[in-house]
Formats: sequence, C-alpha cells, structure tokens
Amino acid sequence: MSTEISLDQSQTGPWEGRKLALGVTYGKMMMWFFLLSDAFTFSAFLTGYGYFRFISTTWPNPEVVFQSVPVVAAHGAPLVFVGIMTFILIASSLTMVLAVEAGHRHDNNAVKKFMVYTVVGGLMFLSCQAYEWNHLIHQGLKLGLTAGDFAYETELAEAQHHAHHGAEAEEAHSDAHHAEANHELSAEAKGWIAERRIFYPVVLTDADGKEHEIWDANTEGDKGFELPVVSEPILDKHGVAYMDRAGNYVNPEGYEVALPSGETTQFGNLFFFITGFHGFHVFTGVLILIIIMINVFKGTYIKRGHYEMVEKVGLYWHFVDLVWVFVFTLFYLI
Amino acid sequence: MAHEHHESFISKYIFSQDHKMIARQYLITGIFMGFVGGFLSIFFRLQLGWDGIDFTWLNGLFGNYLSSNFNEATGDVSYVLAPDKYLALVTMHGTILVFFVLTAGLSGTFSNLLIPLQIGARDMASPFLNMLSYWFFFLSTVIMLVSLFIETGPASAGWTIYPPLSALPKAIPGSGLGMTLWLASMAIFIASSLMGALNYISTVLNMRTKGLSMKKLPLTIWAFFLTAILGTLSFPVLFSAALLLIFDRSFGTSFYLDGIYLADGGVLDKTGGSPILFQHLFWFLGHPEVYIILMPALGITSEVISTNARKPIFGYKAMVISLLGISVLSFIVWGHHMFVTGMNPFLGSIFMIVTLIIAVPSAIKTFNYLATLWKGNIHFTNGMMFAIGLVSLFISGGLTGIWLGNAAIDIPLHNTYFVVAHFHIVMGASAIFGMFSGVYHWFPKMFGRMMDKKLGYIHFWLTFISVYLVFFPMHFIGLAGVPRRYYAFTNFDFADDFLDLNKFITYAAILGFAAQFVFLYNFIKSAISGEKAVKNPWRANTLEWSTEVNPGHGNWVGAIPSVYRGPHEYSKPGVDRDFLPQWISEEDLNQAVDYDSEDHDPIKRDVPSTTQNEESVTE
Repeated sequence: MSTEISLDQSQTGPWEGRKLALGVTYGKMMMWFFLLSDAFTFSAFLTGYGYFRFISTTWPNPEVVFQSVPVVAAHGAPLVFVGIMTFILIASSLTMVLAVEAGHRHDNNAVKKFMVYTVVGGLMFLSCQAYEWNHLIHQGLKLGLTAGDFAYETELAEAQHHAHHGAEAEEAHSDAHHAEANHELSAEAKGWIAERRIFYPVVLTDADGKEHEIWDANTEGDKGFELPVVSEPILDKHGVAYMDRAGNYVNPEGYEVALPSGETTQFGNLFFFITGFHGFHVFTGVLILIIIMINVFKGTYIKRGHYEMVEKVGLYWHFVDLVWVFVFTLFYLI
Repeated sequence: MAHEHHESFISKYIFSQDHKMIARQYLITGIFMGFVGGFLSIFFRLQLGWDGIDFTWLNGLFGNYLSSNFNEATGDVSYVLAPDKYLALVTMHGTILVFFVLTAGLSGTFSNLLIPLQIGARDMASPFLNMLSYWFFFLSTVIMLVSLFIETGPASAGWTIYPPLSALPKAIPGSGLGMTLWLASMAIFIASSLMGALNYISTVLNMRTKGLSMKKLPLTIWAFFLTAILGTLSFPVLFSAALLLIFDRSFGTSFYLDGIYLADGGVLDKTGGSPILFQHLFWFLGHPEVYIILMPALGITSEVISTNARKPIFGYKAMVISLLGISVLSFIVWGHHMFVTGMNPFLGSIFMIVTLIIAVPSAIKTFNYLATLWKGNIHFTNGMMFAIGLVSLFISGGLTGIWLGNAAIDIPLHNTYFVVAHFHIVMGASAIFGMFSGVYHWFPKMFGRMMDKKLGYIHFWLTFISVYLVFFPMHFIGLAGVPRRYYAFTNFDFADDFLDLNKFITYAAILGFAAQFVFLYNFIKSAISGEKAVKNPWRANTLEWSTEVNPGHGNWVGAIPSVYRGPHEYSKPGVDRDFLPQWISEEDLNQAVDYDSEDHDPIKRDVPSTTQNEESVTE
C-alpha cells in the first residue's frame, strides 16, 4: 500500500497538517535523515582519527606517502594522483547535478547521458583507490602492524650486528665498542628502512646512544623529491643521507635499527579503515546509480512523471563526495 | 477501500505492512524477550543469594553455564554456575532488557501503533520499510537468542562491551563466538532501529491530518518523534564503535588495544590503541539511549495521566520544551559515565554541570505530572496505576541521579550496587512501567478487547512492591562499597553483613518475576476472550479512538477525521461532558453531540465523506 498526499491549498501554513511540512516528500526526507545518521557514523570515525592524531607524537608526512602517479612518476609527484581522484569524484557530482536538472526538465536522454557519466566517474574513482591501496600495500603499509613486526626487525638489526663483528664483538659488547666499530647497514636493512620510513619513523641509535628518527632519505630512488635542507647532508659510502624528523641530516653509520613505539602504526589502521569505509559507500553508491540508470533507460520515470529517484540517489552521491572532502583533508593535506 | 482488501495469512500476520500488526509483532517479541531477560536475572540472583547453589535442574537447557562439582564424601555430582558465566548472564540480561525490550519492544510497539493512529494517517510513510524494520529486529533477536546456547557462552563483557575484554577473542570464553554473535546481532538491530526511526520522523512531519499542527500533537507523538531523532543520531555512533571493535577482533588493527599483559604470559603484540576511545564512542550512544528508552514511557504516561485524571496535562508547552531540552542535553553528558577514566577534572566538571542541568527538564515533567493529578477526577485504571507508578519510580531514581551526576560523589560510588539501584529504578523499572501503562491503555486498540482489571491490579501491586524491595536495599549495599558484577560476596569480610539482604533481594526478585506471569496470563486470556471493547473505552480525546474497534488496514472507514483542537481538552468549562475529542469541530458542538453513545464516540461518522480533502489511498 502506498499512501499519497494530495495537498489542500485552502489551508495556510506548512505545519497545519495535510502538508509537506519541510517541503519535501517522505522519501527525500528519509534520505536526508539517513544521511544525517550516516554523517554521525563518519564523524565517529573521523573523531577517532583526531584522537589518535593528537595523542601520537609522530605521524607520516602525506607529501612523502602519497607521491607517486601510476605510469607517469613513481616518486616526486606529491598529491598529484589524489588530486586527480578528487577531481574525478567532484566532476561526477557535477554530472549528477546535471542529471537531476535534466530530470526536472523531463529530458530523459540527457538524464541517461549524465547518469552514465556519473557511474563512469564513480568507477574511475574506485579504480584509482584500488590502485593506490595496492601501491601502498606494496610499499609496506598495512592494517595492524604489530609489535611482532618490531621484534622481527630488532632481530634483523642484531643479526647484522653479529655478522659484522662475530663472536669477538659479542664478548666485548659495550658502548665503547659501538663507538669504535664501523657499522654499516646491510642492503637488506637499508631496504627495510627505505620501505618503512615512509610510514613510520625508523629510530636509529647512533654511537653516542642518541636516537634519531629517520623519516626520509635522499636515496637514488627519491631523486625528484626535496626536503628542506637544514644542514649539509653527510653521505655514507653509498651516497645515502638520512634525515631526522627535525629536518636534520644525520650520519647513517653506526646505527641500530628499530621502530619506535606503536602509536604511529595507527596511520595504516586509520587510512585503510576510513578510506575503505568511504570506498564502500562509493561502491554501494555506484550500485544504486546503476539500478536507477537502468530504470532511466527503461523509461520508468517517464511513466511515473517525475525523476525523484534520481534526485534521491543524487543526494546520497553528493554526501559521499562531501565526506571525501573531509577524508581528503585529514589524510592527504594535514 | 481498505477493509475490502483481501490478504493472505502470510501478508496479514507475518510479512504484514500494516503498522498495527507490526506493532503487535514488536510487542509480542518484546514481551518474549522480557521474559528471557527476566529469567536470566533470576538465574544470577539465585547465585548471588546462595553462593554455589545447585543448578542441576537447569543442566538440560543451560548446561553451558554450569560447572560440575564432585562431592567426594557423598559421591554426588552437583552443578553450580561457572564464574565467567555469571558475567555472561549479566551481560545478556542487560543487552536484552536495554535493547530488545525497552528500545525495540517499547518504542517499536507504541511508535508503530500510535503514530499513524494519533496523527490521522492511513499507515506509515513507507509501510514496506516498516515491515523490513521489524524483520531485521526479529533476525537480530534470533541471533542474540542463539548466542545464549552456544558452548562457550554468550558475550560476557557487560552490556557496555568494554574492550579489552570484548576485543580479545581469547580473553574469556564469552569473548569468542559469543561476542561475535553479539556484534552481528547489534549491527542488524541498529539497521532495524534506523529504518524504524526514519519512518517515524517522516510520518510525523509529513502525514499529519488536516488541522493537526505540531502544537496540537499528543505528547506521545512528541516523545516518539524526538526518540526517533535521538536514535537516528546516536545509534550510528554505536555502529562505528562496533565496527572498529570488529576490526580489532578480526583484522589485526589496534584501535582499542595497547600492549596489555595477558594472563597466559607475555605482552599483547598490539599497541597504540586506546580503550577510552571506545568508552567515549559507546557512551555517545549510551547516554541518549537512556532517553530513547525513557522518553516514549514519559510520553505514554503524559497521555494516560491526562486522560485518567480527566484534566488537561499541566503545562503542555513546558512538557514539549522539556522533552526537547532532554533530547539536546542527552548528547552532551556522556562523560558522566566516565568520571573514573582519568578524565581531566575540568572536563569532568563540565560534564557534571550539563548532567545536573538535565534535572531541570526532568523536574518540570515530574511536577507537571503531579500538577495534572492535583484535584483531578482520577480514574484508577490499570494503565493509570502504572503511569503513577512510573512517576514514583522516576522521582526515586531521579534523586539518586543527582548524586551520581556529581563527580565527587560518583567516584567512590562508581561501579557499586548504588549505580545498579539508580539505573534500574530510573531507567529500567520506570520504562517498564511506562510500557505496561501503554499496554493496558491501548490494549483495546490493539486487540479489540479489554484486559482483566482485577488481574491488572494484582500485577501492578506485586510489581510495584517488588521493584522497591529489590532495588531500594541495593542503595545501602552500594553505599557500603559493594561492587557490581561480582560472582559472589562470600569471600569478602566487608560484604558479609549483606548476605542476608542479598537473599531477601533474591526473594523479592522472584516475586517480581512471578508477578509477570499474572500479566502474561491476563494478556493472552484477554486477547482471546476478554470483554469486547467499545470504540472509546477511556473516553479519551486523541484520534486513535475515532476508528472502529478493530480498525482495518487503512485505519479509518471513509475520510480521515480532521483535527480541531488540542489533545487534552478534558473537563472543559462550558462542555457538558468531561472530554472533548480532537475530531469535534465547533459546528459539531453547536449541534447536539451524543457523548453518551454506547461506544463513547460522540459523532457517528460512518458515512464516507466526499470532501475534496480526502486523500487517495491506493492499494
């Protein structure tokens, strides 16, 4: 049973009953309240993000994390790719508006055209996100880095230590020894640092027992990327310079390798969780768009006489775009 | 027309889209869950009264909660409640009563029944979504019930499911599959609650009948409307908290976990999370949830008291504004559940101030109830008894709320039986009384028959007395420092003084539970063979009493009546009878209106109107 309301024009005031109190039909009103509800869901996640961001002493630099564009540049193009993604999503919002507007004009062909554009935009955004996730996972960012991962790396450092100094060094294991030894990081350790330091600071303890957080290095692979130079970099024999969080270049020789406390692992957890939850919204949005699009092609709304369904899915789509603006700001810009 | 519409058994009784049938489905599911939750409380009250009491008689059905004791001297095997299953019992008691009985059972029943009937609508805005809402609720009920019987027991982390107990699947047996089922059930429950709430909101805003402005809405509708808004805004945050918890449990994240020591040795390898974050997210739902439970009960009470005191509700506007005030304030007070989490005292004092401000609208409501009763021509119907009972409990429980809202008093009393006493009286028992009040009052509308008045009185007095006997002594136990959620108090010297009192409370709890069987008997008997109801048995003013005794799908035969006045025009000067229904126009008044008609409906309206205002109903 569907219940329709015929408006009684003889009455005054929208709140007197037998009127659409807020000027919208119940379907649109439900969508608005659903979106309000969903906004609270996202707010809870983003508040959680804020909470961890504030209690974390370290956080990855988004310009370092997000600096590759597929095919064009593996490094050195910070925020370009996400800029493209965002542009695609906003553009799909625009085509959605045009579809709704065409619906008001009862121009079914135009609605068809703009619905297709919107669906394509949504699919492109999802593909971009899939690429980005894949890229980051390959770089070593993952959901739920545990202390177990730290333990493994500590072992790695220890193993190197033994390899370089043998049993002799183990006997004379002391601070003095560290100062004397000409430590050099193995290729494996360097590779590990190069991978992890993008997302988490790697702590190297130097010969004086001073800890340095390594965030980024001017390695061969990172040519196109520049960080503010505070002092002259000291290169190791491979030409690698390391920079600590304060932007000071530090000498890599004679370091022990470790990751600092676990709080910074929240970047990976939050990134995959929140962009994943948003991506799931985009995915369901595309599904609903496709269903509505099929109806448009079948001419369902011509028969019905109005395109309100297009409008409702449009509301949802704009909401998803709006949420992306917040996600984009929090993860990519600040 | 609606009543000619042919329906199959399945579309009429099972997958019905008629809001009245959905209301009955909610009510019956709610009553069933109420008995389950009540039984669980008797189960653990027996253990609290007599530590190590023999539960062999329950071994058949609840063997997974018991551990066997072998008596070497006699060679007998006895079964006692396992300590970790005590936690499972309190968890499920809380979850079932809070969500399944007092949220879905109360709000689901009466919002569905009364919103279309009292605002003059044929049905909800989206009957299909409404049906879906019930069946999602039913599914979540089934999952929650199934979790009671799995081998490792149901969720055991308390109804608040604080991590890390809920976040580590191996923490205790109930943290495993039981917790997973809890989360699955609640996710579906939240979806159900959202669908219901969207319907309630849009129906109230868009589908009121001609003349029914928001200023003339019955207070029930105001309460259901604001409750739906609270649900729409707060349940999604519980959903967020639960989703993060699911990721912590299953996908290796550590949102709520940070390097804790495990009982089986070693440190947890997850770091960087914060269990306090969960508490913030949970209580952002948890506090509005208290009002989601209470406000429908308060709305029902407003209508029942006004009708049965034969007086307009005292301060209609103040009642609406206080509901609004409670709704807004309920979102900014959640921190008072967390005074002992190491919260910054400054923040604590802000939460304390806003918490105490809630006492103002609550007191306005209470005084307005009392002022409505004052010099009223009180009809002590069963519904009225329970409504007055609610006011009594609301005062008793509300006063201890002022204690607990103070951080300085809350900190020593936190997690003691004082808190248990407070929230059971002010939220649990009050809301249950509101629900009973509504059932007795609107039973004629739901089933077309009257409930047995005598059995109703027996039910009321036994319930009312046992509620106070159970919960009032808990204040003193709590003030003495006895903590809640303890399996037994036999091992602590300081609690020895209360062993007898605990036995007494258990006796009272059994009495209270037994009284509910009087209600159940009355409910079933009256639904089948109760005295036939008349159209307007309570001589009430609101629109639902203008329908036929058993309204069909579509509610009104002929046109929907228009509304000409507020809902509370009882004992109006110049009117020769003590009620003046909303659907009586001034013209009707000038004509001779037959108030003493057999069914107390002053106007015969069985001639279908053909005015242009009639809405089209398509089936």
